[in-house]
This record gives sequence, structure tokens and C-alpha cells, in this order.
Amino acid sequence: MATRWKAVTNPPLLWREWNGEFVVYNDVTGDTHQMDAGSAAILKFLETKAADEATIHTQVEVQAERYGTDPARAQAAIDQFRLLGLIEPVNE
Amino acid sequence: MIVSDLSPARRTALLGGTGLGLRTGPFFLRVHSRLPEVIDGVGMLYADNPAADDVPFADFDVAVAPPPGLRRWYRPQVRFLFDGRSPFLPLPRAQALPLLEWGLNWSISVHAHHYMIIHAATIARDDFAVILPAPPGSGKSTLCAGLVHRGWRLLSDELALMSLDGGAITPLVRPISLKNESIAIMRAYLDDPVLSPECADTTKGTVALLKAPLESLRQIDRKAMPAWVIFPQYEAGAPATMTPRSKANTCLEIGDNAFNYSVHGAAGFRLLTDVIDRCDCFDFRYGDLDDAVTTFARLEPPAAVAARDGRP
Repeated sequence: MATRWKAVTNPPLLWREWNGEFVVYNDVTGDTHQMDAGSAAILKFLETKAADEATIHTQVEVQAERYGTDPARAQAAIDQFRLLGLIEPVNE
Repeated sequence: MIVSDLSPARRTALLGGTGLGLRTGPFFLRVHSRLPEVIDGVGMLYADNPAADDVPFADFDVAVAPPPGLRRWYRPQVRFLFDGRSPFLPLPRAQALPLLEWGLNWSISVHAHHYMIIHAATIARDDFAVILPAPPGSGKSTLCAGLVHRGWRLLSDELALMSLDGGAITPLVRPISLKNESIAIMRAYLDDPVLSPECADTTKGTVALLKAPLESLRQIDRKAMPAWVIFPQYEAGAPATMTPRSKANTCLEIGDNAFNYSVHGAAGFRLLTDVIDRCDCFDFRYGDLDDAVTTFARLEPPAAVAARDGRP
């Protein structure tokens, strides 16, 4: 079964946005991260539901088109989310 | 009573004995030292600070003293002591007075977690504060020293004490640490500045301590609400330029410059983002102090802060 990923929710991420730039705080790690609108949209999507790689990839393309960003950059953001502990695999 | 109300003999006796009670901002210190350069330095730099010859309770009990053994005399060294213990390695004896200041910075930044403590200079006009975070060599202290002698009051040269409830900055009002070229710049810029002797060969280069302005000390209890976050950068010959900067990036930079951001966790994130939300954020490049003073004089507090009437 394909791995599904979801943003950490316990405790929930804390967000703040200014002029399309986002900062997000992860209370699990104590880290604060800065990201653009496209990356933030993907992470916020993963806050609402777990998604497999194919669904995430679709979101990457949707947000890239919406915000005019390079899909490769958005995919790199997903990889960063994993490394930074912002998303975690869901056991089902 | 202020420090200068004490006779030199009394000051010497207190520092060499039970300790000189000294108030700096919200903190009550008990200071000990028998070193003449520290006794004289405290008398000069803290002349207008509230003092006491009997301090039943002190936030920080500190001392600057020679180490035991051979290094009292041979290539003499000094130690900073906090509650009788030395938290770091000794330094050359010549650095005794700066060591007191560095030790006090450490004492506050490590213990005063009832504030969010940001490595930044802070100055204020009326009840509106500028936070000036900057790495060493950016010209922050030179800019700070210039501005507080030209219409702004000093809150702190090194540590911004931000209230966890609302973000107001509490004044600390201690000597300004000048380094290298900035020492000569401020000697020329100010009328008869009160400066400690220069101390060479520190890890920061040559340092000298500039006494805080009397008017800043008179307002030592007057907090200020952050209205601006400005990142200064000195560049010889550069025109004074104030450029708006990203609030998101400012948030990260402030967090990186906060000694105890991680201590406060989610509450710290909410505090910093609320403060930055209300502030105007800039990069400031300058090459001339008079230009910088003129530029800062034109700053108007953002509506979100002014609407609170600046009430901290």
C-alpha cells in the first residue's frame, strides 16, 4: 500500500502570513520555517487530509500553476517537509 | 541615591566588601571587585544609576576578580563570577571592565526568561521603540550611540527585553559597547563623551564603553512599544537608504537573534509574530551618522501601534 503523508497535527502547526509569505511554527521541533504561498498551500492541504505520493504530486502541479512556481521547486518543498518533520507518514 | 552620590572611598569599600547595590533597568545587582580599573569604571559608567549600600536581595550577584594561583600575577587574568562561580574561562587582566559588561549580558540572557530577550539594540522616541538587530560589524552600536545623543533614548545597546504580555520593551540602559573604528567616530561626533579606556586585543577587537545618556537614565522606567524593526548596515560613503523588508524573513531573523526563543515555544512564536505584525520592517544602509539621524527623525509609527497611543 502506498505511503500516505499528513502534516503534524498534535500539536497543530501555527501559521502567520504577510503579503503572500508564510511562517509556520512546529511545536514538536521548536523550529520556525519560512515558505512561499505555493509551498504553504501544499502543507495546508496536508493538514486537512492524508495523501499519497500521487495526490501530493497533483497538488504540487495545481499550486505551481496557481502561484506560477516551478513544479520542481514545489516538489523539493515536499522533500523538505519530510526532512524537517512537518509531515509524517500515516499508519493505516 | 545614585552611584555618584557615594564617595570614592565608600564606593571602593562596598565593591571590595559586601558589594555595591546597583540598579540597571529592571535588575538589581550586587557587584564586587577590588580591581581599581573596575572600581573606577563602575564609578564613571554607572555614575547616574540608582545605587544602594545595602542590598538584601539582588537579581544578580556578580564579581570581577583575579583567579587563584599564579595567574594573579604572572600574565595576570581576571574571572567573572556569578553567585561565586565562574561560568566561563578567565580573560587577560586588561579586559576586566569589559568582562563585567559581558558577564552581565550573559547573566541576563541566561536567566531572565520572563522576557523574550533579543540580541539587538533598542532605542525609543516617546513611547515607540526601534529594534535594531544586527550581527557584529554592521554598525549597530555606532548607530545606536549616535541616535541616543540626537533625540532618541537608549533602551539597550545589546539586549532587547521584550515583555511576554504584549511585547513592550523594558529599558536596560547600560553602557554602549563601541568597537574598533566606532570609538574614534563617536569621540569626534559627541561633545565630551564619557568613555572608558580602550581595551585592545579582545575577541571583538578594541572596545571602549560609552556611558549611557543621562536623559535615558532618567526614563529608565519608561517602557516603549515596538513600532519598527530595522536592520542596519554601515557602508562607507553610502547614502542613507531605508528599504522595506519581508516580515516573514524578519520573523525568522528575530527568532534567530533571540537568546531564548526556544524556551518560550509556541507562545514565543505568537509574541514575535504579533509584534512584527504591528511593526514596519526595514533594511537600513548608511555611511554617515548625520544622514542616519535625519532619516530616523522622519520615521512615523505605523497605524497599528499609534492607535494604541503607544501605550506599552
